Amino acid sequence: MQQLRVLVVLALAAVACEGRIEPGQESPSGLEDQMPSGHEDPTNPVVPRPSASCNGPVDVGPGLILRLTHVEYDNTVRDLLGDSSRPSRGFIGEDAVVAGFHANPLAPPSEAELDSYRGAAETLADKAITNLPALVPCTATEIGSDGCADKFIRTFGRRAFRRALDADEVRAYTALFQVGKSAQDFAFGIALVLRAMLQSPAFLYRIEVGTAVVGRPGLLKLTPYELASRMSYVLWRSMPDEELLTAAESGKLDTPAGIEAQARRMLTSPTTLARVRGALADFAGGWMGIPEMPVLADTTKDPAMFRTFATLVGDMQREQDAFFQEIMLNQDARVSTLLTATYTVGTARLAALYGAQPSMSMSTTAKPTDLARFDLPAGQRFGILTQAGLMSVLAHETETSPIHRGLWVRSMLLCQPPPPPPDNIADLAPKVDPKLPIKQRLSMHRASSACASCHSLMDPVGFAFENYDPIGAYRTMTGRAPVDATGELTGTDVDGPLAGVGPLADKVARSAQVRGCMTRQWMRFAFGRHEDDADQCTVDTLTARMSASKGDMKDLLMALTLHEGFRHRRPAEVTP
Amino acid sequence: MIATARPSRRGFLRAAAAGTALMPFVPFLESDAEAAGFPRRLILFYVPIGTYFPMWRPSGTETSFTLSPVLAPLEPYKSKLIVLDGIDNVAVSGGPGKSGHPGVNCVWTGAPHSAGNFASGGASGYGWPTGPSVDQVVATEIARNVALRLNSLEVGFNMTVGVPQFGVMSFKGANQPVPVIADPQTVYKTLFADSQLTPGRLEALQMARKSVIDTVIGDVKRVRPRVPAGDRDKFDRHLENLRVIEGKLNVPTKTCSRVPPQPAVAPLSDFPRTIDAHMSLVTAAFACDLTRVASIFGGKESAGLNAPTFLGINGSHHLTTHRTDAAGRALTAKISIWYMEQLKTLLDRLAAVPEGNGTMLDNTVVVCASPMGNPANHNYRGMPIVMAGSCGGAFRTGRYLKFGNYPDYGSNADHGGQPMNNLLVSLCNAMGLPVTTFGDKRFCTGPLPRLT
Repeated sequence: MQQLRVLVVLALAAVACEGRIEPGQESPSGLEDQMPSGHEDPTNPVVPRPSASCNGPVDVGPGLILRLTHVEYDNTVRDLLGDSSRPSRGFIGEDAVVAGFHANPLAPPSEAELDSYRGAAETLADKAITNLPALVPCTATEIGSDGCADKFIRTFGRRAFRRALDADEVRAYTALFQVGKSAQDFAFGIALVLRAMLQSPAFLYRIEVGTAVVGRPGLLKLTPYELASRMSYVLWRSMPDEELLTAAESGKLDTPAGIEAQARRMLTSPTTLARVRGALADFAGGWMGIPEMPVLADTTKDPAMFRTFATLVGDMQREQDAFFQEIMLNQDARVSTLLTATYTVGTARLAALYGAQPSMSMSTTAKPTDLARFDLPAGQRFGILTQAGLMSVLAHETETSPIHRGLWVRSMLLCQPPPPPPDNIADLAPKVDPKLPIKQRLSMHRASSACASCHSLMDPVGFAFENYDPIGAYRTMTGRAPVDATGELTGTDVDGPLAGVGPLADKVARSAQVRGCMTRQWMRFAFGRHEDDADQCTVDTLTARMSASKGDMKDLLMALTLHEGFRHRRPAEVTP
Repeated sequence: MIATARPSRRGFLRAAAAGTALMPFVPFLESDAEAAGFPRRLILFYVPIGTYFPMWRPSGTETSFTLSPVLAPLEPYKSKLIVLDGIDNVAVSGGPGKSGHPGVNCVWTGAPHSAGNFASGGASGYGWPTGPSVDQVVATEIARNVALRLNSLEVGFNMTVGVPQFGVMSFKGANQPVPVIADPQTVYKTLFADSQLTPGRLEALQMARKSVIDTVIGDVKRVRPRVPAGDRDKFDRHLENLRVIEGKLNVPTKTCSRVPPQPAVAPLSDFPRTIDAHMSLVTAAFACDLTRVASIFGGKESAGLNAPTFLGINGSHHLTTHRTDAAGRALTAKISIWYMEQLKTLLDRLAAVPEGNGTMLDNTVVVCASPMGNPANHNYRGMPIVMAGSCGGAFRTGRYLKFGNYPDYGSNADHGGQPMNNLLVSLCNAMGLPVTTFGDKRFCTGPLPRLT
């Protein structure tokens, strides 16, 4: 029983009780700490802020040059060399999580990480030269000649650096080739070139030098090559393909129509769909969790209470990715569909967890690990909101956590993240009887004025999820007591009482605030940084587009790549 | 990357002689470092989260004290210890990210976090700390005077779960995290693979690597002036790190009679085996004088040992340390005792290498610390710290030093203790750096009193 007390303290620890969020307002950058403490009722609904910046020329918030994330590295060598070995699994160190998504804007590679890059480059290069005819753009008789090496340096270099090499680079790599050739042979010369290119900053970073914008000091317009890379690393989390590089070189990316044509192809062409899926999985992985909590793969449950969890957790991960992709690529890609769908794409084991009837395809030919779409029990399931993976991430090992579930809705769906926990949390933690039901225990937050300002925004939202146990199974009883899933949503444009997730799903599915927040989340994913005041015009324009499209996120991605803000960068001196 | 390095023949014979397949560790006859006149070495030993303080705190006076239940495993080394009571991880309070676990970034830097985007959702979160860690400062200084295979060695385990920034405690400078090598096979390769090649093969390999890295350095130098000023710092640091690696290619590989057997391949989730292998490799790296600075990271902060079922604890390490009932506190102490047993093993290994009239332990200082005094409350004061080894006589050991009056059950109120920054100054001084301040100057008054 003592663990219950612990959970209350922990739950408190999850979120600070100091500071507050302006009612109905998304938290702007860096302002939470300055906000005065107060306990007014949040009543004003969200209204789109006026965009003074939209009247003037384009502006964007400060951003740094990004180094490839592990996912991007693996995808890039897959598309560059046809190597699917995912070398980053052996890398030392991890990507940073910036604004909720993996991104490396700040830290240079450490010596150990450079060593990882070196090791991967040597392995990849040595493997690639075992099939020289497939690697070099030369005829059988040309292989071995300096002319062939020159061709290889230029053509492979263009793909590895995602731009044409300049004369100095060609000279440097030609010299390196000669070193390898004289030490050993032609193939070794090629191998050295490959090794160096895979460790070059031109490969490891998405370097955006751009061109100056007249009258706008500090603002850079991306070159066509840089724009192509931005498009491919946002839409694919990988390098540009030949068609995109050619489009950049032929001036097709200089016009909105040209950009749109490429973006549409990149999002819909069957031949590159696997790349889109990779990007969507990367987005979902960051968004469907809380940045300072374990991700699904690291989530553990009490094995005595949840015997099946260890085998189900992999299925949950695959369901999350497959469902997200189903909505984005096969359905209408709307936020509302993501939040209200009464079907999923999962395994037979998950169907059992959900109490669903397995679909025909599953019952006949399927293996237990096969994914298939099936309908969920009526009135119990609402898109990703009630998916087993998300419910598991947002729960403790032995019991649910209304606080974390409310926190997720607040921060990832409504973009109203509460401030971090205060130092003196233990002094604030109310003494509660661990035998009380969780809802009564958490109600102590609201009895304490120090806690109430934040917890009144989270706990009552989280209570609506009480029908979903710590691994996401539906329940109507907790112990011997019937589940109390009543709560309340406040401080948004869709306020109102909640009785279970159904009413919450209805509300967030039609919320303009949620569409605005999803716009911001995709921008964070795309830019590897938090949005800044200077991005307000981009946020507003894209949010308006999201409203017009009824929340179509595929359309949003198209619009994002077309937006002027996407074609510019403002180099930063400070932490992004 | 797994198990590609072959064990040396000598190492294999040693392993066979020891008659055990699981990380045999044969006492060295004498350290190769002898020729260098027994250098001083530094090991940071990080225990994530913290302990249950009342079961950690010794009783008695400075020179006549009794080790606590948590520290009991160190009893054989009592005369070589300094137990520090009342040291505060106060730097974490000097910036954003100040509640508990992010303190992992501040323990060895004495530097607060910068503003940044690490915290959940909001923009008012924290970034990396604003300065370098003591191990990196010391290692960089050593590298100025002597060319070693590695400036420093960072090892640890459980580094892929949870929050990325909680897995870094070493920094070369602001925004320069130094990640941990979690796989002992990688450590082994890094330390010993080259020395097992034939001279001809090694020369060819180094020649190729030199040519490649020269080309890469040329690329960085071409890129650097073209990128906007705000991006240049990153490329400057990138270039610096490449230059360090380039420099290492010129360090002659020396033969070392202390090359240990290659660690047995084991799942990295087997924490006891992993840390055991790491401790052997750190000892061997010192004995072969491949480096003089190392850190051992006992699991990512906050995650720690995950669910330490190997200790009979099914709940998570993290949740356990938040418990305030007697049974929960006993489990927290049990976890701490396991860590002190690991520390004791490390001391055993260092003490098994004779150096002059003493052992390698006498020329080393191992500093074991956690970021919080009472993790249940996220208190950053009253860090449980124990030092072992006198660092070549720099520290007077065999003492229990109490600063201020940290309460048994924790508090963030000023109790008149000493900032961690002062200990960092003392560590620099012991390692030959005559600094008078370290980290954020607001939190540093000079060397820690009474240590020397």
